[in-house]
This record gives sequence, structure tokens and C-alpha cells, in this order.
Amino acid sequence: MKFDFLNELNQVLKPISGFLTSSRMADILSAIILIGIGFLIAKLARHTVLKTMGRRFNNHQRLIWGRGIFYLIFVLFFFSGLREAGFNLGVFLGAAGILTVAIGFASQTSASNLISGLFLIGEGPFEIGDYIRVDAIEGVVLSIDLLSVKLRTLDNIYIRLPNEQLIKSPVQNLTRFQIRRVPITIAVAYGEDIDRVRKALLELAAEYALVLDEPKPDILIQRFRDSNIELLFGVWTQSDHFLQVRDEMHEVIKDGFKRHGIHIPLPQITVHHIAPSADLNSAQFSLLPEELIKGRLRPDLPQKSKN
Amino acid sequence: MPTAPISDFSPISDLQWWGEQSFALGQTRSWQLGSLWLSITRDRYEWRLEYHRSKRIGSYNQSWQPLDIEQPLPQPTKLERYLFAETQAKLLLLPRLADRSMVVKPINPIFIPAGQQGQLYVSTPLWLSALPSRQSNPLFDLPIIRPNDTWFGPDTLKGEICYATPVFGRTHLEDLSVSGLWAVTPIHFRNRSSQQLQLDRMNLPVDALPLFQSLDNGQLWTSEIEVTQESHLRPPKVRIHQHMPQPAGRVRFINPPRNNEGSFFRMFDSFF
Repeated sequence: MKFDFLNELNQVLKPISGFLTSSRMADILSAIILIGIGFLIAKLARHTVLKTMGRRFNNHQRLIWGRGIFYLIFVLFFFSGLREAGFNLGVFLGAAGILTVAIGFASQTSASNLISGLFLIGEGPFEIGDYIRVDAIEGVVLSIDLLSVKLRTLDNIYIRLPNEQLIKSPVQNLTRFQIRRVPITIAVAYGEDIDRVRKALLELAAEYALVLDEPKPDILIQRFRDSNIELLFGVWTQSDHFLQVRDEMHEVIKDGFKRHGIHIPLPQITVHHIAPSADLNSAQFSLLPEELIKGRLRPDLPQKSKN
Repeated sequence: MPTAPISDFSPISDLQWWGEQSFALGQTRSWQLGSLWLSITRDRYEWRLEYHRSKRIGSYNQSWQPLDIEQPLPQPTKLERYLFAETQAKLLLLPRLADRSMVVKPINPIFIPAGQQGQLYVSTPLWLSALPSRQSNPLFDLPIIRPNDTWFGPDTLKGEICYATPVFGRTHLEDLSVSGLWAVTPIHFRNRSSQQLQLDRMNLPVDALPLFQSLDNGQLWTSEIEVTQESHLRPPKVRIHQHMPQPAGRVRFINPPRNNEGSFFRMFDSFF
């Protein structure tokens, strides 16, 4: 039997050409055009709102409003398009629900990040431009997206943090408030007059313009250490000046203490060496750095000593 | 910026360090204004500003003097350059009030008994700006004495960043030491409430005040502020006069307020 190629081809193409010339194809085409127009209108609406009302917004508000407007308009046009193409939206949404569950099981991490992202955007613990610390990572927030938050560190390194991690971990927002306390730990010798040290520190703070006059600086005795008294000197400054003040205040304190004749003590230890026998003399070691002592002297010091 | 023509600011007294300055091409002129040392140089295509300010605020120096060309500025200095198509010979140096509110703190506590009223004169440090011919915006605008920053608000969450300056709060005009580097603000208090009021800190919205100069002695003044306390349950009513301060006598107008908007009530919720 002779194979009639042209006839077979005609049989194959007939439904396709029928489909292409059918009203169904026209519906699908008009749906695609509708979705395309919706995309453009959504972009235009977002652009217009951000250029007008958005001038009063901060970066974070611009992001939220921009995305909200875009997705609202686009989704409306998308479903209108589907309806135009003849889809039954009820069946479609049902299928989408089942699909969501299936995808959710298949990609739990992504779904978790997505939901965490929605919570993060809703709760707003930080905004774009804030300086945050999560675990050991800190940096300026570049963007808050549905799956992750992007940071830029002080070393200009780009970091992507999954939203799930931000929801689970404590987040420190270091620039949320306009002012911030700079904690500076200072060691003073046991022989120093603490009252004189307090007065000198307050004077140094008052002489430095970036340290706030109010709230007043805090000076607290933290603990008695082996060879010094540890003080906490907390000065307040604008959050934007934190790093500068922390850096310069140490220099100001060092120079100021020198001017006031206050010594910053080196680590030291006094060892009373009581000889158990006549061949071992009593000796006293002092002003030895703690590291040296830790490395060389052990609890059995009297036996090791050759004095 | 000033609405008056440049020639209006002729010197009145030794207090006046500002006004129109003439520069030949390549000329450098230097001044010491309190703790600020600055020199300005005119080149054909640029103005150069070099200044030194001590990191330590220390005691406020009230004096000013022009410096010799040979006298170098203390180090370290900061250099700024402003490019022009072609510079003009005239440069107007002008005093301005601070660019944000000033919290003044009486050195000794001041009380206003119930039913009493009184007048206080407080001084706040000035800023220096330079305006070349045919320019409406200043080249630079820097504090002559840089006051400490401070926080003014009910707690560390709510409030605003201001400058802080200690004041004596003179009640007699004669006790006020005249200075070209500070401007005087008269504040009139009326306590109509039944309770004595203590004046701890005042947030003075100097950025909302115009600046005047007394034609008698050259002292700079701001307009007057009137504070009325009707009841201790309510914050005091505050009125900022935009006209000339009466105690200054005859004055001339120097500068309009930096900020004309919304400065009237933000300072006063925790005035006392």
C-alpha cells in the first residue's frame, strides 16, 4: 500500500490549523495581551505612585508600597486574562491549592523562607538602610525580599541571609533609635582616686562635641580584677557617629588621662614566695605581665624556683 | 539669605568681624574667631577655605582678630575648595544662628514663683557663612564655636538632636557681656499657674529666629520669645516674635530664620 504523505500531513495539521483559526486561539491571544497590558499598567502605577506620593516615603516604605501596588494590579489582570482564555477560576484556584501543598512539601525551606519573609515585611523589625546584627553577621540592609534579606558589611561584602534565619534568631537593629550609648571599658589602678577618675572622664566627655550633653555619660565600676579596677564609661552619641566616637573617645581618654596624671595600669601580679626550707629564699615577683606568668609559672612554683 | 544689599553691612563697632571683604587675585586673608582659625584665598577660578578647630571644646573664647598673612594656622587644618567660572573680588562674611535648636541650661537653677513674670537674656553661639557676589547660596556655613550635641526629649526613644550650651541667664541687660561671636535672645516668662516652676533646660529654636544687629554697640540679637504658663497641667504657650527685639534698641536686619516651618511648638512639650 502506497504511503500517501501529503494526505497524512494534512490529517496531522488539520486540528492544529483548525485550532489556530478557532475562536479559542483568539481568546488565548487576547488573554496574553491582557496580561501584558496589566504588567505595563502595574509598572506604570508603581512608578507614578513612587514618583508622587513616594517622595515622602523612606526606602522601606517605597519597597512595600511599590511591590504591593504592582502585585495587586498585575494579579487582577492575570486572573482576568485567565478568565478571558476560558479557564474556570474555581477549578484553577483549587488546582493551585493542591499544587501549593505539593510544592510546599517538596520545597519546605523555600516555603518557610517565603512565609518568614511575609512576617518580616509585616512586622518590620528593620528597614532598608538600617544597620543590623544577626548572630555574628552585621551590615547595612540593602533589600528585604520574599526569600532573603541582603546585607552589605563594613568590608563591602554582600551577604544573603535567608528569612527563616532572621525569624528564628534575635536581630539587633543598631540604628533603630537616633541615639546610642557607646560602652568603653577602662582599667584604673587600685591606687587611683576613683572620684578623680570620674571627674576627669566627665570633663573629657564634655570637651568632645560629638558626645551628647544629655543623656549624661554613665561611669560604673564593673569589677575588681587581678591588677586593676574595671570601669564602664558609657557615653551617648548619635547612632550615625557611633564608630567615630568609639574610635576617637579611646584616643581622647588616653591623652586626657596622661594630662590628668592618671595611669592606665599594665597587668601585674604579686607573688609572695615563702621558702619551705633554708635553701629557698623568700622572693617577690611583681609587675610581670599576666601572660608571662601564665606561661612560665605553675602552681608548683616554690619547687621550680632556683632562688 | 540676606535680602539687604551687600553695602548695608558696614562695620558698626569692634565687635563686628563680618561684612563685605575685598580680595585681590591670589590674596589670602585670615582670622581667628574664638577657637576657630580660618583663612580664605581667592584664585581666579576658585575660593579656598582652610580652617582649624581644636578637638577639645574647652572654655569658650570670645575674642576675634584678623591674622597676619605670615602667621600660619595651627595644625591640623581642613582645606575646602570651591570652583567658579571666574571669581569676583567681593565676598560677604555673615553671621548666622545655629542650624538646629539650642538647648540652654542655666548654670544655676532658676525658679519662677507662681504669679510672677520675668525676663532672661541668653546667649547662643553663631555660625559663619560666606556669600560671593552674585551667589544666593553660601559657599560654606560652619560653627564658630562648635557646641556639644545633646538630646532633647522625654526619653531616649523620642526627642530630637540639638546643640547644648551652658548659660548664665542674665536678668539685667547691663550684666550681659557683649560679644561678636554670640547672639542674645530675650525670653519673657509669665507664670500664671498656681505652682512654682523650675527652669532646668530650655530648647531654644534658634533656627526659627531672625538675626538683628544693634546699631548702638554692634551686638547681635534674635527676636524675642514669650513663654506663658497658664496651668501646671498643660505645656506652656510660646510665642516667637518675628519683629525686632525691644531691649536691643535700634537694630538692623541681618538674616531671616533658617527654618520658617513647624518650629513653633516642637520644642515646648518638655520646656520645663
